[in-house]
Amino acid sequence: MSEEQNKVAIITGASSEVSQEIAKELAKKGVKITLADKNKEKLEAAASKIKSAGADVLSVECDVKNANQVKKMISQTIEKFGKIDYLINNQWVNKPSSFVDMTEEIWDEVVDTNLRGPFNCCREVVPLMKKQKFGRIINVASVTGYSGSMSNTATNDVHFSTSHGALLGFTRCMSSEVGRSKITANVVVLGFMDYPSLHEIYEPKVIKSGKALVTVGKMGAPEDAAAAVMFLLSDEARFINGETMLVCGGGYMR
Amino acid sequence: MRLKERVAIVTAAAGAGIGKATAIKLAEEGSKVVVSDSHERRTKETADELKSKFGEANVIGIKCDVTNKNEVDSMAKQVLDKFGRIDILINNAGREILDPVEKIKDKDWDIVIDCNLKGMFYCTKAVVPAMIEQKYGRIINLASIAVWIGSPIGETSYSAAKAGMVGFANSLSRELGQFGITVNNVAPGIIPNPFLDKIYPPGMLNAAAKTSPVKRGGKPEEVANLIAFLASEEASYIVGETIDINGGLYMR
Repeated sequence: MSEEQNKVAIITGASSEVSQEIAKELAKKGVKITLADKNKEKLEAAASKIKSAGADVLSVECDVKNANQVKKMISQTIEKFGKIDYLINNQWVNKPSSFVDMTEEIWDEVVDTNLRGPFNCCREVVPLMKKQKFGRIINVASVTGYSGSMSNTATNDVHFSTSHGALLGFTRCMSSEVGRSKITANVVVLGFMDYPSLHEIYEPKVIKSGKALVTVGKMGAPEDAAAAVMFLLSDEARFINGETMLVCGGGYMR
Repeated sequence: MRLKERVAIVTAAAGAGIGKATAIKLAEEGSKVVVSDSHERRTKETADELKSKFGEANVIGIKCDVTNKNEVDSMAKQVLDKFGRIDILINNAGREILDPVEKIKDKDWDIVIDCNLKGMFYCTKAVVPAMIEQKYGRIINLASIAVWIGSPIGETSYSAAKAGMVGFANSLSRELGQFGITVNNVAPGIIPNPFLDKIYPPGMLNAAAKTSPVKRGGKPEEVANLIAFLASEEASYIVGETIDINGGLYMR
């Protein structure tokens, strides 16, 4: 029996390729999973895929920037599975805009989803994890939080970079609050990835522009992200806390 | 006099700490200075104090709450009307409210994020068009050691806000570098001032500062020196950087 057996996970932004890959890996280990996503149709499609892999799944329509929807999603999870061991915050949005033309509405939407969203989820989950003296929180961020945009051709990301930089600081600080309760909080920092839904946001040249910087010869895939997340969730990673793990193919180094 | 004929806006410049020290330092270097603060009376008092030192014509005080877009836009307009340009923006306004993550109320999260991040967004938006036109600008945000290290005293919202500045400065640099505008952050460690004693548990700051290699907290003037350097032409090749100034309390 794997250590993950009977654990319960929440994944937000669950319909994305990265989340789907994480869910697949969790399902293999026998983890029960709440899939949360704001898009009902995409959520149902994602949920049926994970269910067909044999996992015990709850799907909840939830936009993480809305605190009430988050509260509801958490209580539904507790009702069905009785506890929460893993929280994987992976709902994010980007609407590229030059800074000069950036409206307050776009700024708010990006910062609210990418920063307030994970905060909303952590605020609800941390007390439960503290009580059970176990928890793993993984916030998925973009390398733009460190580097600004990923390359000089990929700009128009000031709101997005701000929100993800903030998520790094948020997680570092939270890790020192929760560590004593045997909860770890870490960030998986993604960059230089290439998968289909990114093409709905960025022009191909923007995605490809990172390729010259990557040191491992190819762009990242959802599997690469999932591998890092799975490691940080495991017992082997119990001494890693407040870490911002770059999964960037060496495209950015700090 | 590294900043002769420059025009600088310093937000939250009428308190006891880094903002006021920075306004004074920039004025000493020859810059015209806008003392901006959300506290009306203190804004006037601080502006008057600087006027008496640096000349009536070289200082203005403008009451401005950085979380109020109208006040920020009006401030930028007043500065352009009076001085004709804006070269330097010091985003110093910040708030901190301590609470463990599970206890943070929405309204407190908003206060901290709005003042630190939204305020920076508004102020920067308000000055960038002028900086682009004049092909010169220096934007410096006051981050914090909290960007890099957490603490168990309830600073998640503050750490988030300050770390957001790293992404902000780097991303904005990529857009504005071509116009001679640099965007950087200064990340102070413990810089004690009377106001901070109202936020933190008594004695905590001094005790923590003593664990640094230099065994003391920093002075606002020491941070102001670094800000003045970044605001000068000498620092023209420093872009998207977050510079720590913390007495070695944290080295990365």
